[in-house]
Amino acid sequence: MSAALRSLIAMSLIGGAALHICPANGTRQVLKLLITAILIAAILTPLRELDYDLLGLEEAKLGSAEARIIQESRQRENSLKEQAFIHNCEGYIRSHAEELGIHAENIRLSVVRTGEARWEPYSVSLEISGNTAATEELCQLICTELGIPAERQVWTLNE
Amino acid sequence: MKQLACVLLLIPLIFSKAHAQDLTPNAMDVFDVEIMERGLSEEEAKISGKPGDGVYDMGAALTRLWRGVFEKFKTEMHAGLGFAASLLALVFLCAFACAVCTVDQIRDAIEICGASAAAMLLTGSVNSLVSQTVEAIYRLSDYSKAALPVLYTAAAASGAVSSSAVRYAAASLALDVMMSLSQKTVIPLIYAYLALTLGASVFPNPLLEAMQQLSNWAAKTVLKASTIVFTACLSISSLVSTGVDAAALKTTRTVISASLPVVGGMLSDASAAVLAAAGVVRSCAGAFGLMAVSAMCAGPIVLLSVKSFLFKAVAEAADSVQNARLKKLFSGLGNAIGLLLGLLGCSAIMLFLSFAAGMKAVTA
Repeated sequence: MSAALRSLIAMSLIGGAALHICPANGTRQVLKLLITAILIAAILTPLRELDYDLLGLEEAKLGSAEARIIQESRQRENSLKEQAFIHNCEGYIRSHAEELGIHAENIRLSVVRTGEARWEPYSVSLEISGNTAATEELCQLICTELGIPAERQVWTLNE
Repeated sequence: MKQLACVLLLIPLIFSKAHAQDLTPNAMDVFDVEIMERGLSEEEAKISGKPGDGVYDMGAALTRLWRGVFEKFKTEMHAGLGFAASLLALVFLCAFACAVCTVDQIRDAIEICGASAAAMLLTGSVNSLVSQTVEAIYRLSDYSKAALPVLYTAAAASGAVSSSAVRYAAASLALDVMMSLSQKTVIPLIYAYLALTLGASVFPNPLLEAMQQLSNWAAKTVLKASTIVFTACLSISSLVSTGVDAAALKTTRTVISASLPVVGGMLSDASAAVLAAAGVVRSCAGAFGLMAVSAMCAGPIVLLSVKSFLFKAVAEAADSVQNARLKKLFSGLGNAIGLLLGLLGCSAIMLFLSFAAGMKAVTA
């Protein structure tokens, strides 16, 4: 038990005992007032020990807490957006390849960042099978629609 | 809560684009939702379950929580009944001794001895309850420091940038200050109430009883005031910041789509997918956080409730044998435990409100 609790218990027991044994006259009134003052002081002591600077310190942390959340959310959002953009581009290539009768798999697209939360496709590698006669058309499509020139496209033919 | 569970289960069906569904598991990794599982004990983790890949089964978690609460209640009641039986034995022993004694002063002395003996027996166990409550509050505070950033980061990424940052700052400021205030004033006031209860029960007099009422009132007032101020802080910060985000979202999407052709369209789709995935993560993390806090509080709340009930029951038994000292002592101890329950409950409510504020966000 903490020392404060022990001293408070001791004060209340001693005060109670003193009032109990004190005869009912003027002395009892004085004793009552004295014990009241001591107990009120004991009860209010925690307020004196409160850290009043705490609010100021916590307020100072407000700005950095806000900035941290915004920065972290941007970082994670950008990471996810990049993944989603790459996924969309790969899906675009796959769907157009299917339209041309080409079976495209293991499509790996790389992107380059061009601004805040903006990327552009840089290079692509893919494995194809099926209607290989249409590869030129697909290559041209990737070049015009996604901006990846032929020299940055790596094609692997699956037998 | 069941409606929330249904909404969470139906969310994947709303999106027709495959990448929205594919993106959610990635989003759960990117936002480090697994951090919210750390800091939970084995039992709490079993009750809360796992956030999953964007679908959190709230209904099942609630069922496990109720089952856990019921089991804990049974265990505490069994242990508590033995403890209450020993207190009742003391009450009836004192009553018997007073009944056979004919001299008033000796009867008075017997009652004082009985009250002192009960006080000595109980002080240790009440002190242990206070320690357990303080430990539970520290755990809630530590958990909030780990979990709230995950939730509010996901909320910011789901489109509520300004409001999430402001709410997070308000919630973490208010939580720190209020929890610190509660522990540094309410716990000493509860100790003061306990000490005065002991004093007033051994030597009954109006002065000590008045001081006892003062410390009881002061503790309750601080608890109510801290909860009200916290709720007000959070509500005002939400009101002030919410309007900004909706306009910003529409502007950004229009700019991306208009300036670039096919690639621009894909960027815009990716942004929309990320907003949706982040929204799912936010809802999932928020629901999981609420269940985790409930699981963390359930044990201590059940323990304190059972102890408070048993003390009050023993106080009524003491009243039935007209032992005013023991009745005051046990009733006072029951009230003190009730204050501890209120303290833990207020801390939990503040955390619930913080999670709820994070789940409420501007929709894309």
